[in-house]
Amino acid sequence: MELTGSLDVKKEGRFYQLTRDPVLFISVLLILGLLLLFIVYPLYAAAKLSLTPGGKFSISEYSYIFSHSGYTRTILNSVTLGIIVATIATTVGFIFAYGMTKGNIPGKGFFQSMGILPIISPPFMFALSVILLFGRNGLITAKLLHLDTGGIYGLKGLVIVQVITMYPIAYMTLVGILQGIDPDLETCAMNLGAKRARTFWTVTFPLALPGIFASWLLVFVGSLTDFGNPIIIGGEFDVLSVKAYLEFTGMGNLPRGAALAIILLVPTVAVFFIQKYIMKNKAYVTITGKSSRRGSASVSKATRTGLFAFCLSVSLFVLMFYLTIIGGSFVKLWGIDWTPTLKWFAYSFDVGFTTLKNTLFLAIIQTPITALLGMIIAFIIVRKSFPGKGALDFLSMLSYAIPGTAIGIGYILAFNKAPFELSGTAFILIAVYVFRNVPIGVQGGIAALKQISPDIEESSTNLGANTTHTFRKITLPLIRPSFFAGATFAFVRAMTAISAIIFLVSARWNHLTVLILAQTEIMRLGAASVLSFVLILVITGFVFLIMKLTGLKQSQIFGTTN
Amino acid sequence: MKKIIVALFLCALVLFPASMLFANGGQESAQRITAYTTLDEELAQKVFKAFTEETGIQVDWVRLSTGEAVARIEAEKENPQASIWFGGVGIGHIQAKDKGLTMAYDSPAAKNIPVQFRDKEHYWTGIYAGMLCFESNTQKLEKYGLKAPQSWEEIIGPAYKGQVQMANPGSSGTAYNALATLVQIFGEDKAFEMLKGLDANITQYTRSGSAPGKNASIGETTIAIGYSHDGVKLVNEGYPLKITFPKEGTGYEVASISLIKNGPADELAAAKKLYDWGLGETAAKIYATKFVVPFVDVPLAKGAISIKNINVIDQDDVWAAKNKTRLVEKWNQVINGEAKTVKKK
Repeated sequence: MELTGSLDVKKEGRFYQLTRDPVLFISVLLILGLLLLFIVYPLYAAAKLSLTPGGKFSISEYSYIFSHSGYTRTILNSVTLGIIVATIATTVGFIFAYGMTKGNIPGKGFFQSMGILPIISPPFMFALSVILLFGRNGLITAKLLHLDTGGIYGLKGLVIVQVITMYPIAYMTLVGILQGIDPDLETCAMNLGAKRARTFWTVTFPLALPGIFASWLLVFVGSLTDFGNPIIIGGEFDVLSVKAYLEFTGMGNLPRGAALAIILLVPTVAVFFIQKYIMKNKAYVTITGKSSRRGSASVSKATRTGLFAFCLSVSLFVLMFYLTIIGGSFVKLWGIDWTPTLKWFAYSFDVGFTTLKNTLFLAIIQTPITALLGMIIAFIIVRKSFPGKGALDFLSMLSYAIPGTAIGIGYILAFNKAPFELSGTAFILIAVYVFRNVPIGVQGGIAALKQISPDIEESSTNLGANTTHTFRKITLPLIRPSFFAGATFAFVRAMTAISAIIFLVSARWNHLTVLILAQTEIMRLGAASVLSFVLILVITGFVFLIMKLTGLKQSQIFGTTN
Repeated sequence: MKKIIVALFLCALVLFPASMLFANGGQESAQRITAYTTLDEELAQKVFKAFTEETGIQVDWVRLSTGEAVARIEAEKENPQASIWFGGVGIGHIQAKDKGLTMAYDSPAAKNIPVQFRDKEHYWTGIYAGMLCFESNTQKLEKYGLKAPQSWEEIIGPAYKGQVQMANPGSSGTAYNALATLVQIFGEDKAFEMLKGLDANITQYTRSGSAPGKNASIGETTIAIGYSHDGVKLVNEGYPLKITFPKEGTGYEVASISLIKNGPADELAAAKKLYDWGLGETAAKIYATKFVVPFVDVPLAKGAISIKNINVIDQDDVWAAKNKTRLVEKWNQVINGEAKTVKKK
């Protein structure tokens, strides 16, 4: 315990725990160091650039942005879109999760797949489908309904696409939460005479509320920082992420792009603090170590039918988008020439095979790193008390709030010169995956840990186990579903990343989504469809492989209904 | 369970350094070049494959639009990742030169290229020219009872409201080419008035210059402003497109090659080889398969439109490159609704 001597033990009780536990101490230092280097430092580089446009300190970029309606409108657009999408997606996700966990609806396996499918899809796949189906020359709008519409570009199209892309985020979050609510509590309420609706509003809903807020915020931030969808179907509806990107790349106006990205941080960081404030003092421990976890039937038959119908319609809607992509892969020219062909497969193999290999390679490497790091951070945040904990908590979630575009340019600015010459290497991509995806693991871990009573861990500690031992033997097995959900999610996110890595891909390490974006943008829709299709197959295949290797069921990996 | 975690963690520990090895190992072999290219993805694939077959030198490449390439090279200037920028609108190459991002290289193969299409100081060399044109979807024209536009004056008219697409001059070399062309034909004031008129007809400013043409081909828009060789290619693929040129004269791109300054030192010799090869006949024949008209005389693909047969303006790319930041900024303000907000007292 040489470490103890260097610190002022008397000053604060919290130091005591830290110094008594060298593993914790070193972990905290290491994690803080990594977060500072890979999240704060790039951000600092971007912020610094935005404040020194001509080499000298100046706020001219910011004053320019706020005095020009084009930019202020863009800011407003982003926030509006985020609020609309977060609200709709969370509602859809909640109904879905409720139907699956409490509603006991038939066809769970199918619905579960449908709830997961959109997450494992390439970013602009839905934007692509929306154009194919509802565009000016779309299958539904033009061919079936003979409508003449140019209206899918912009807010409408974006809302549809983002809700479909992001309701699974809400669903995944809420399924875990709803499952964690002990059915016994609901049974108790009903035994005490509460009607089903009253039980829902006074027991289930309040217990799920933190989860609902969490998922709303996740979706809001997700929408705000989404880049793939707006760049394809945003049309005249400018959003901040795309605007920042265009300033960076097209105009080569790096300071203004950086400034826009920093501005994008404001609402996301604000939301983060609001969430902290709301969630404060909301204890929602329901796994106490003595739960029976029996199945329940807390909804009426009519409600169940309603839930079923809702889930079915959403699922069929989602399914339609996939069929469109598959159809698009085999058709010569969508909307013009419907001759079946395999030429897009041949073409895609030529253009995309090496890229697919590299994309997969990097995604596999980062997965365990991200998941484990996320769990460790979550554990430290929830269970330990030490000075700088707030900072750790904040930093570990921060990267989720930073638009990928800012991270991307931040990385370029920060890691392209000594002492951190990383650009063009695989390492920079792995770093970006790990630190962009780690909040997912942390968030999941926190949600899971908060539902596990510390008593269980305390018992372990009382029996003489140290932090490492308790974490491995007690905590980790308990949060196992969360861990695998985190790992899978991290893998999928790495496979479908776009906004940050579009800056960081190199000739040697390209990413399949960047390739798909290029194909979509030049409307080589056949190739884009094939590549998307292949990417989905690869991701599904990988998830399946994990299931086989670990002997776990899909439900366990995704932490959903049993 | 514990075993799985441990196994995964060990995997990570082993694979992580392995990946680094992977990353660096590639760069150590001299027979490898890193390239940024603005050629069409399919064309780039063909070109670099042919080069590798001929020379044994592997090309790692990534496709970026002209604007993206300049921004990328600029962002990386402290530690350039690529040795060569292959293809892309000439104005971008001039900009890169002006910003000190590229290096002079007096290629022996440059003598194949007419003198007006290469830099006097040997910073960039043109490989082919492409003219700006209007690409109209014939089915959509018929549907709306419209005719393919024949002039710049026509396309800005109210008849085409909501029917036109072009790229964003910020990110797209093609679109900036169009902007600069209008300014050179009509003078700055008139040109921006026209661009404002055009704005009323535009459904979307895309990121990439070839996207509007593709959108027109599948009917997402009726008319696109783009390069004719892209249009001809689409016609050959079976899309119902009609290509027209503005009668006031049109601008053109000089797709070029530049060597990136301070690129990876061990790649320089091979990069020069690619540069020379890119200006040669074998490469030109491959470009020609994509309906462009290379500066080197080679048999052209059926339907390819030569710059000799089109009324092109006397274009000043050096001026266009110098004024890009200013003109695009102005375009953003005047056209893209970025007029200053009125301050309330």
